[in-house]
Amino acid sequence: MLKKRIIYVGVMLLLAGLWLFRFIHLNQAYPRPKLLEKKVGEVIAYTRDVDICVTKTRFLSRSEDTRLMEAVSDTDTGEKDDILIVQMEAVNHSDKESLLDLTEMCLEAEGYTNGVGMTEFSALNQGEPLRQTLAPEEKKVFEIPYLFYYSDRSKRETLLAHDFFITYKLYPEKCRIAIGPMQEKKEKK
Amino acid sequence: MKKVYQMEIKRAFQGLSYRITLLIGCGISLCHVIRCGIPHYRYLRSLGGVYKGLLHPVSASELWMGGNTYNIEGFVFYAILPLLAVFPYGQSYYEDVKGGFIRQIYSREQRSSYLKAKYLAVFLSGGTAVIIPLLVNWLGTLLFVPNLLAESALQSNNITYESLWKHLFFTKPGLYLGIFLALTFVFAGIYATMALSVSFFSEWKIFVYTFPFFIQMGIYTITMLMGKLEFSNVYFLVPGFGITSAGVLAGHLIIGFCLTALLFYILGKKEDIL
Repeated sequence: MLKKRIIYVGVMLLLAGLWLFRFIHLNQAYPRPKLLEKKVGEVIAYTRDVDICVTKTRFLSRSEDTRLMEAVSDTDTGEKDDILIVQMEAVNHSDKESLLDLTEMCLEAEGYTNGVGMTEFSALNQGEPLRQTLAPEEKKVFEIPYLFYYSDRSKRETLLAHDFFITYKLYPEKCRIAIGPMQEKKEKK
Repeated sequence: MKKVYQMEIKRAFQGLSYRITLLIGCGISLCHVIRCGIPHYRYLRSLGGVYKGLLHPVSASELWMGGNTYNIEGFVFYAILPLLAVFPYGQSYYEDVKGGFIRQIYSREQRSSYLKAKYLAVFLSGGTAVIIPLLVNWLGTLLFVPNLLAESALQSNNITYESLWKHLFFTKPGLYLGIFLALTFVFAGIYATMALSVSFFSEWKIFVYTFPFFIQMGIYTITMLMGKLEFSNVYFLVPGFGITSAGVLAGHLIIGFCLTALLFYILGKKEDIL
């Protein structure tokens, strides 16, 4: 009986050891990403050649909201919706052309994600495409819109109280720009 | 008094049905590891460590059986959770009464001690029979999928900004998982002990076995028709789906405990056995 128990414990310990070895080995090959975070007004590298910086964030007022939506479609924004504008500056430092893909600029909070409003971007930036080619030493400023849709008004306050980030790279380094909670930026409509 | 507790615990955990239940549960878990974990590891290796933009390797906390709602093994496991919880020892009171074993117990032990010991043994056996396969799946998934943090940007889980303990899910997945395993343990215990209460009302053993399952399926069907799946424990017990309403969770627990612990104790004390 005792011998059986010793064998059982031995096998269990061996399995636990193998599991631990495999776990450590796998997680060394795929470690958790390092976080690179900047705030509004601070410069962060998008690529080796291109730096970006969020200079300002604001919510469109109701009248601006309606005008923008009329410019891109026939539909009006709902009473419960918001459009957040993130003003971003991009600079190409190199002596050759560099790519900047604004579709990767994802608005993120814990349990929430939102992509760039494509048609609204075009309307706000005089028809500029989301995938940009920056000329050598070129500096450009974009207004990136994010559309918030809420199923009811109570959820709006809950969501806007969260810390928001513009995230454009996830692995092996997570790069994001903290733009803070949105509540104080929200204008009375 | 201590003896009756030891006896009941021993009967619960050393029975054949407990082992069969573990085998079924662990079988479902291993199926998931083979069907999802291993192919995912092959996919990771094929990428060769190149990740551009918003690409990110899926984390174990999102890929394991309880990490999302779109894997069939996870859905089946949570759907049959009451059956897995009842099968090890939930029907034992019914069998003790029908087989006459309870008369021998009552002649030696206090009725309340036996009822408490029975409740505890059934609760623990139901809880562990459900938790162990989930742990096997979690540990099995960690063999093939890295233990990275879940990413909100990827939308590969159902956790929203309204979910309870979402911060833990994105920052300390182990702790978040622990909370959900504890909750699943309690729910499995409640379903297992529900069979004890049903034993007083039924002449059929199959009814005792399946009643908790049909209760869960009833709740699931009603919530699905209402478009409120987050109120059904088939979904809200899944860590990757999350709990959006603390009130719903508390309601389930309070009603569950009242329908099992109190009902079983009161009816058990009153029942005419001898």
